[in-house]
Amino acid sequence: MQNSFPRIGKTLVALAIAASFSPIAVAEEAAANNENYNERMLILGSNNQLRKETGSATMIDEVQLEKFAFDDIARVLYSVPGINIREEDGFGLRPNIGIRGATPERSRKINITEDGVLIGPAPYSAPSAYYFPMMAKMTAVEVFKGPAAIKYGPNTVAGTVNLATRAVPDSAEGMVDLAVGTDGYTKAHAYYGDTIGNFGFLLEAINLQSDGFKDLDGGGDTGFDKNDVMLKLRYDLDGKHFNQVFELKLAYADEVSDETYLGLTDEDFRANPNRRYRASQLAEMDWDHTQIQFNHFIEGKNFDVTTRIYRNDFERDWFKANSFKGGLVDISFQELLADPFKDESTTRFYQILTGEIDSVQEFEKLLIGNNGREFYTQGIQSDLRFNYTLGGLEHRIEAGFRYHEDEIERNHTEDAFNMRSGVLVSDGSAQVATTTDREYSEALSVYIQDTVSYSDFDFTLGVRGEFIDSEYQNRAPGAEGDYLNKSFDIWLPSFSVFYTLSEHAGLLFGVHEGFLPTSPRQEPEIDIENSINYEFGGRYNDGTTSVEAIVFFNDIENLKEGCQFSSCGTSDDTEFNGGEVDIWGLEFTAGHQFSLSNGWDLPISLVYTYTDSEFKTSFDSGFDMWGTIEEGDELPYLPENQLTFSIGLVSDKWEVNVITRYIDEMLEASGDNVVLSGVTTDSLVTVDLSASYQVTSNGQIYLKVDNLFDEQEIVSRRPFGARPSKDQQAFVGYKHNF
Amino acid sequence: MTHFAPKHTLLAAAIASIVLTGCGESSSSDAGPDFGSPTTAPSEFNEAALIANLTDNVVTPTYTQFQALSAQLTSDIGTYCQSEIDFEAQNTSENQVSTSLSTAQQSWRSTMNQWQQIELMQFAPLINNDGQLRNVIYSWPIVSTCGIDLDVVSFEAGNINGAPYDITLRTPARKGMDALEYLLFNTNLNHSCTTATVPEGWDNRTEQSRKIARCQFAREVASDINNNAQELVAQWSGENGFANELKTAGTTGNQFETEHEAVNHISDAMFYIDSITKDGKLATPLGLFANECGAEPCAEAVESPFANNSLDNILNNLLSLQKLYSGDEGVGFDDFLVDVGDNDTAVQMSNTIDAAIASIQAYQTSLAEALNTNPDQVENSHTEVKNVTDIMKADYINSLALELPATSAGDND
Repeated sequence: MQNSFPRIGKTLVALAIAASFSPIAVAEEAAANNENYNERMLILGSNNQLRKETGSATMIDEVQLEKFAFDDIARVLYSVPGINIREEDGFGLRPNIGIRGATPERSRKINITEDGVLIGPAPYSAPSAYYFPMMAKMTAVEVFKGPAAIKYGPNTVAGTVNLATRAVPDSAEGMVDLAVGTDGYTKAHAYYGDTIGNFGFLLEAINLQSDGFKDLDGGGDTGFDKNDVMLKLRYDLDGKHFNQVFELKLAYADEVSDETYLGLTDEDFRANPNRRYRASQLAEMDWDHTQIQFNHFIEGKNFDVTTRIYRNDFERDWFKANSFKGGLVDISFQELLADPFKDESTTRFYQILTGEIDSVQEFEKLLIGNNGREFYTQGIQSDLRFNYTLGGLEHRIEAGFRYHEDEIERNHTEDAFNMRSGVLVSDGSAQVATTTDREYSEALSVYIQDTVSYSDFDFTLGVRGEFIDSEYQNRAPGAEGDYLNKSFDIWLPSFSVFYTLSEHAGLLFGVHEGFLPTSPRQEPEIDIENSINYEFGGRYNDGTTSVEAIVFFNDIENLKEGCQFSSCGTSDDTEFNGGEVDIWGLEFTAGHQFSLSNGWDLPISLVYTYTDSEFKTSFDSGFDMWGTIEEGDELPYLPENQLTFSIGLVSDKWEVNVITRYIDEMLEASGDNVVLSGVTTDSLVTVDLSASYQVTSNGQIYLKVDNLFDEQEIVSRRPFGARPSKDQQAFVGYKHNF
Repeated sequence: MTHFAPKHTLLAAAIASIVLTGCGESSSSDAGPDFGSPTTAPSEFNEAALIANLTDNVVTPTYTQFQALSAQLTSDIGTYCQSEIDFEAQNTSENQVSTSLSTAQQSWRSTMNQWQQIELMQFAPLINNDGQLRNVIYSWPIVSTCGIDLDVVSFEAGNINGAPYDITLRTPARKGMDALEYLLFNTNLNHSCTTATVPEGWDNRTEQSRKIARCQFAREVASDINNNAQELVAQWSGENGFANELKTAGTTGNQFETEHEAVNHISDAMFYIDSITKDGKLATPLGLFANECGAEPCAEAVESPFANNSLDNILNNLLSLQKLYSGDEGVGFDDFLVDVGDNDTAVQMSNTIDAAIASIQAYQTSLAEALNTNPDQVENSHTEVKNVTDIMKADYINSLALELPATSAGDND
């Protein structure tokens, strides 16, 4: 058995030594400024003036987030250009986010970070993001695309979503936020923090609950109950030459949700989009997540270094109706719900699913699976920023490394149930272990980029290295010989230039190599996803008006997709090669704040994304979203047009905001000869309203209505059958700051 | 002038950076002996010869023989129908009608026995599109006797809901060999519908009228089976047929990247004996699996309730397995096992198949009757078949580096 892990160890030591001899020693006196530290937890920083980074970078800050206080990341990200989302449960419990055409399935092609640290359950070994941090505790969301993706691997084909948690306040500060809403929604959110001398702390806790907006036949909850508790302890150490911050972050989160993969037939959807069949009555996701993170920040006159050490543990049980037992007669839920009355057998299966009749035959039993999984991630990463002048040119160096380990252990089981008078009853047979394995990855990542200012140009040249060793082991008894060890190294270059037209305007161009690793158990014959991504555009920002337009083109050498239960109805994570694919599009954002004569403000913003794509070759694929592909076919779940328009009216004491979104229909499958060939989701217009009134200097009441006109359409027919967007939900709450 | 030097350096670096693309990667791997799907044979065994023999000398004759038998069946049913019409016109005797019915029934048995061998030879033409071609010839266990009763009348009327009756558009549960069994062997001339929808006017018709109506629909069903049998042979044979796809496995553009993958495809079909014969045709009526009676021996759950051909069906499944395994008189999987040095499994497979065949041949009654009077005998048959599948699932696939089909991956035993 080959083992190249010592190679990584040596490289890591070398990097650590190199880091210790960085220009820290020559740094001069630095000003104490904790804001610098707080900004390092962000990718973009909080500067809202003209940004000179290439890439369609977007930051949604705390003020913007509080306007609508969305609990669903999808609703937040609809305000970001170049994002493609496949909704699934309506609450955004398990979002599917893509960037610039990257397939949104379980957000597996993008990087999701919290305070700059990869937060997916196992981003290298099992990139599907079944865990997503609670949006309600975030104070900023950043989305980064283009060449700067080189800094935030491993996935560089699309981009990165960074979520920032609340910083330890400089002085005593707290908040209590209580809300109730329709569908049994309640929210209790509070935090308190202070800095006493050099020591600061923050304690924040949230509980979100809902009975759910779906109607389970026969009764029962379809909602969720989520908790999140976070403690931050910070110590500031300001010295003559350096300022340092030490921070410990501890967090715990859990969720129990009665969510299912089982949707509806189109006909049933039209009758009641919120219906749930009886076969989904045992569905339940139950997870908990713990996080420990230690940050160290040091800054001198012309440099700073941020080092993070982290460990995340995630454990889940996921009970859901997987399939009929099959055998003599086999039919998948997807096939059945696409054509439930195709013949006599499908009719019976449909009636069992809905509880109208009992299962009789062995093949008519329902298999309820528990995809039990345990994950962890741990690692250390260090990021250096260093400015110097050489040859009369100003250089801004950014460099860093990350040593990361992650692992997934699958303990999947299935139990057989009979449908009896509308109730699922165990058939008494023994539980069957379906998948028992482990995937592990150890990765060293390094990057360096230098931005050189010359005249009105800022040139940035960068490169990222990913050195990945991975192991797959089947843990089933007697399967010791079923293993695979892989090593993979890649260098990913990037180049970008920003040309400053004026104080408020500039042009940008960038090109970088995109990369998506394969998971440990994928056969070596499965290629990585590899692309060359180009972008060109311009931006303008004078403080009250901002406009940005960027054209992008992703030349994908090999598109790669994977099968999960959420997409294919199988949990083997099989990956598929899709060959050459082109994706191109336009991202446009514009915003302006009108100041009315009576002192009110009227902010408006428009976000538009156009995306098109095509396969460059013809082939047959076993991937359920592709099928038989003809050259020129488009990618699934990629709306051609998306438009978000928001408008607000803001006074000293109150404000009202309305956001309207349009999302084009999307293909459910690209090619022919698969169940959802030729089928599209519905185009959708959604309007959300929020209003708040400052009752006292510290107290605010607020009202929100998500989906004001109660428009529900089919947003997806995966995993199994038609699924609705969220129905109209109204919330009223009181927030008290102190 | 010095200002230009960095500019040139940057440009050169940018070009170098882009050049890196596509050449800055390397990989290595180390797989365990049991990782992934085996794509090559564990020995130098001539898999091409195995594939050629099984396709040309085992599968092709079975398919073509079925086509011929289905043509004869159509003719025999036509003769029987004419005798029923003649009998109504008092142009023939009851004895003549009985003789022609017996001939048609025997013809059905011969055709069905041949089909039961094909059940273990379900390759691409039959399994494409979720088994569409297989199901229109034989859809068991999905059979709708009420649907057949309704279509008897619809066919006779020549239309359904105003559209011309076209049997090719009807669901598999209303046609095929299982529908023919109901039409030719069911002596109860009442319709079987228990729902609100019933065959229009059926209850008011004479017995002879009902027999003629059923027979004429049977002739249409038989003709449809024959058409589908021709389609099967057409998709199998010739330069573009699937037999040739199997025989040219490993060549450029072939769906099988290696000959071993093609051998695995043939082997997958043989596992019908496990998930269908053992589990569906024996374990289910025995009550080891859920059936119409709950979880007890159940005569109603047999495969062939009207013709009582269930044991012959199982027998022909086993005979087909025997032919595929032994290669009939040519190269077979037994030779492959010997070539890889596993003589023990080669012999055990052969012996257990023989024992299972002997067990089925020992019955003096129908399977349905045996379930009522001597379920132990049926349990013994189940054990004998399981002895075969136990070897197939372990030593057979391991020695030949074959992959277990998904249908047999779960342990139902």
